[in-house]
Amino acid sequence: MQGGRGNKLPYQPEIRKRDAAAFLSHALKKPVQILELQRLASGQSRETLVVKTDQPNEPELVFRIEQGGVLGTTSEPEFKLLQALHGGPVPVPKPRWLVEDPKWFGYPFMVTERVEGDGSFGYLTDPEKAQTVLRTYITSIGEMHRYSPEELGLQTLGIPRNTRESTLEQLELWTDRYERYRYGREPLLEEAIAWLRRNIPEPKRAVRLNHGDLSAGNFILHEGKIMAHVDWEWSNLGDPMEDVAFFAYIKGRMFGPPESILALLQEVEEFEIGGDELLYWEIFNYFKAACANIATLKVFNEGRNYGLNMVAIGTGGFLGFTRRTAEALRRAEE
Amino acid sequence: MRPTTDELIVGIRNVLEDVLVPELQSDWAQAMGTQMALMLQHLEGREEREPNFLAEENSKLEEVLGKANTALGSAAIAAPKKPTEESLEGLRKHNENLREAITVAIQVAYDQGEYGFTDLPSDRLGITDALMEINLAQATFWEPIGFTYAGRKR
Repeated sequence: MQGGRGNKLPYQPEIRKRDAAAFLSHALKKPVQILELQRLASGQSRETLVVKTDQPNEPELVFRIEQGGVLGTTSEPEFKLLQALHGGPVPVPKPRWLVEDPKWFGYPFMVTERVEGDGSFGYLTDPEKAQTVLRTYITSIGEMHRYSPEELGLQTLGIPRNTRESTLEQLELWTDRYERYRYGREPLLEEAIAWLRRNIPEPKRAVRLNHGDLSAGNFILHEGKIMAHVDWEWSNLGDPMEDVAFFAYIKGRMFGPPESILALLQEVEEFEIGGDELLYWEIFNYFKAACANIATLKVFNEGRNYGLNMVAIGTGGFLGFTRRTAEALRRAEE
Repeated sequence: MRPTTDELIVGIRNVLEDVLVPELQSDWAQAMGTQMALMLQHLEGREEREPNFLAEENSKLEEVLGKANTALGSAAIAAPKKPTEESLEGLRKHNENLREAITVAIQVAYDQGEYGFTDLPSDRLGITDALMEINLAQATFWEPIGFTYAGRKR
């Protein structure tokens, strides 16, 4: 279908309020009214709504509604991870409901409790404050990588035997997304896939929990403390060098150049950061970002999500990360 | 006939930017309004621009495949036939076929030789620079559509 609207109603606050009230009345088995509903303007993979109800004992809730495959992920693995992590050493929002039935919002969704604090990144405009937040965040990243999957209670999620196995799994996952969502072939990216497959690093570190999308905006800050890591849809049990490279080379650039981010990460990580392995994961993450970005274009063109930001991500974003993948591959030659 | 398609697009964009977007209340609606304006700007002249762009890209891709085939020698990949009709759809299909053939050429080169960590088939085939140029030209084609982060609130 080209240019269709699918079967999804457009986002309209009043419709969303009505739908959220209907769902919560059903879930809580009593009439619920929505006092406030706010759609967050950013966050590409989910339509994210913050909802305040008339229930005095009910905290504010965060609805994360799938958008027809945007960025190539579903809610279920993220919800199960939150269930396993909640109450443990890695802070996450309390998961409440995972709903596969599309009758409420047109797509599956999950609901978590809103964590007290601020997920915005206004601090980036104040360099001194930004560096303080960066250090706090990086310390929490180090803590996240310090625990074994068993210590975090993640046995039921299936723990890969070693980082080689997990890397291959991740590569297959993202290659599959590229194949599913691409239009024409992109030779530079195809070459990268072949290179990534041939050069998977030998296992040198223990398998750890990767957030997968470490970024300003993906943690909730309150009084100088990280209250929760959020947006876990790219998480996996694998080589923690993935998180290190992702943050340093992609999202951490909001805080500063990769070299300074890597130096800070080295202070908190228990493994040595650098060498061919770091380069491997830099290339992998650019490839991953390109694959995630191309997914947005297809769901837009098929009418499953018509947020216009999908087009920006699927064109300029995809091409940019394809170029960065190819450029980083060439740096491997130097 | 006047107004032309482009004149209408410009008119719509003016109203969107000057009249509608300032009145929008939510962050989300404003972000969508801004994206709409950028897309309308991209659409101005696209009807004429796209066939020329695709024809030029296809010509570059044919050169890339030719160069790869020279390097591959007896393992050369069959070049896709040019479409008989130079319609937009024909150009798009030819573009896909050329990209497919170049991908196969890279895979064949990879399968043929010994490659170390710092060694890449497209470099051996001598087609890297041309592929990068094609990527850059595409990015230029999609201007001015880009990212707008209004900031995140949670």
